[in-house]
Amino acid sequence: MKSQQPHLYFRRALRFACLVTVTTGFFNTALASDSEVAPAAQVDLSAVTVINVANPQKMRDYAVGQRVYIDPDTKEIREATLEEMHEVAKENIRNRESLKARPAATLIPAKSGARGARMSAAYRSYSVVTRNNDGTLSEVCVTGQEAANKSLAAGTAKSNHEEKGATHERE
Amino acid sequence: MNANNFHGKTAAFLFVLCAMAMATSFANAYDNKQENAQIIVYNFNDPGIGFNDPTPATPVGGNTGTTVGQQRLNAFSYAAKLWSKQLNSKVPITIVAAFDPLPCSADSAVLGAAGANNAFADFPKAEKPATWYNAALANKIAKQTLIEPTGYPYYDADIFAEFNADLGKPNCLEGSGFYLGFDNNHGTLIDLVTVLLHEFAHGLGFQTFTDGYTGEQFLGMPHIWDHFLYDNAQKRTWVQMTNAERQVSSLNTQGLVWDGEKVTNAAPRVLARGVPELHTVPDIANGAEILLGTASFGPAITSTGIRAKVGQVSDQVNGTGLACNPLNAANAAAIFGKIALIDRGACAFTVKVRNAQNVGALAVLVADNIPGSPPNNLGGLDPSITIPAARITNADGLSLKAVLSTGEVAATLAVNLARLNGADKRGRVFLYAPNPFADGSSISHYDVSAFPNQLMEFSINSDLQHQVSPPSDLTKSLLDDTGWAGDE
Repeated sequence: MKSQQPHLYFRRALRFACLVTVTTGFFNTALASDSEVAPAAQVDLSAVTVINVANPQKMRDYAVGQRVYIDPDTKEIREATLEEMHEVAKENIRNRESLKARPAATLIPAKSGARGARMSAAYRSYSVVTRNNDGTLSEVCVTGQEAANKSLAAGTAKSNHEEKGATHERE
Repeated sequence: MNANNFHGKTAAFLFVLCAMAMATSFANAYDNKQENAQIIVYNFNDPGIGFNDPTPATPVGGNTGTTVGQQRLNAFSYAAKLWSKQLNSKVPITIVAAFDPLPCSADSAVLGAAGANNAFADFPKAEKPATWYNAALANKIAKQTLIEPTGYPYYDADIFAEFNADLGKPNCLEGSGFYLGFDNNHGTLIDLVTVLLHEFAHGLGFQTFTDGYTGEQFLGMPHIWDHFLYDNAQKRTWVQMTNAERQVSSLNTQGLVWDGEKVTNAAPRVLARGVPELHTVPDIANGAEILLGTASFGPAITSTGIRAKVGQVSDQVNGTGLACNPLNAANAAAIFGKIALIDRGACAFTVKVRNAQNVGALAVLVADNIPGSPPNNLGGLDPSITIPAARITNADGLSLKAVLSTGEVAATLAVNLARLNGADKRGRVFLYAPNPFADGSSISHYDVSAFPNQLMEFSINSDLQHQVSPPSDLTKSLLDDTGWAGDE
């Protein structure tokens, strides 16, 4: 009997592995088939990690205008002083009032010999929604804060889905 | 039956089953390794607001959060998860995110803003030299984080995303807030997941940094997108053009296409076939396509179509034909048994078409009264209308009138069943290039002629279904052409 024990262990191990594999495979398949249209009550979000940034408002103020302060002695990035933060906030307000002064992107250092650039708000996409006279909503996507404000002011969002392609013969 | 033999067969069967299950599991694991990019969302909101808003909320549409903040974060994570399932990258994709008060009024609002935070060029394994790539894609191709970290996510993140925390509140599109469920059952609300999917796509690379209005490249170099932007009139890509040529190209409505293998191969599975076309003899468009806007009333244009001469209505002193009133005998004779050419203006489209129908016209072409392309559709509803109608541009209307002033024009108005809605005759998908230039919307979206509606049209349609890849959508295919398709 002893001579059979390694074989039994192997079979038990295989059975366990099989059980785990089948269970895992089923679970994976269930996740993989988790429809994008009709999600389950418990939605797996494991591929997404959320990190709460400590003291974000301070960082936001600090980051306005996307500038870095370097300590002249240590050459390290340092936090902005209160006076500097106030100056940046004032500058931000001036920029908002004069949106034609679209800040260009900033060249940034990158690894492995690459060239890098940090994008300004002028290169972001803005979703703008407008309520139509009939109460329906129209959403459009535009690039840049300036274009977004224009769309907002003009209420130019127009929907097309109800009309296009709906009135002619298709296969 | 021999018991031992039975057990032996059972064991063999179980072994095979087990081996199959293991193979499936390994395959799944391999697939997961290939398909799932890790996404890190940096919550940039202060305590008590935005993602941290403690206002109680009832779970909705699969979103089990019990506060407004939790539900926003769950919806954000859900959209990020949908994208992560589609993408493969060894480098996590980082998003700095917040819900903040953004500009809005009683009847309009900025829903949110998103885009690439950083871009890189000339990194290891970059397919195109001297070309900008969005940071997330550049990192994926280089298999490393390319930014020299500052230690601050606000700078270092690949994508920036900010959405309106005030939406739905008084004086900010009151009553029309975000729907935070995952099931797309948004009703009259704005489906946040759809908006997020669209905006994340821009951040991942569904955009060019080249300015279509001026033709200027970003910091003197093209975006990877520009290598695939092909102009059917100039017969070259945007990287092969001068600034002036790109300016012209950005106005080439339904003539600017995406020349990428992944999108073109997937398009027949995604886009419906059957595009209405107008052909004339003599050719009033000199070989170009006459663009049409379709009517929301009357019968559909068929593949059999209508072949007839074109007759022009002229009931105004200046020679234009509005057809807002019952037509006189001369105009009736001019369009009887023909395709009627009528000018836009002064009354509803349905009135014009009904008046033409009443005197025996077979179909109606409404010529726009202001320049611009593509022509919008003909709106309205009138069940009594039994002839088809379509809208043409002001320019095509003028060309048609010019030829009619010296002779006859024969026309065929029919659906071409071989063509895809939203693609050219070679099956290459149109980019949005309206004339005049739509600042902020042109170029970095699919054309509005795409049907079924696509996630990356500039107008976000309410019938979208949280899909980003074939057979429903062409967003992922385009990203694949730019480099997202590469294996890990």
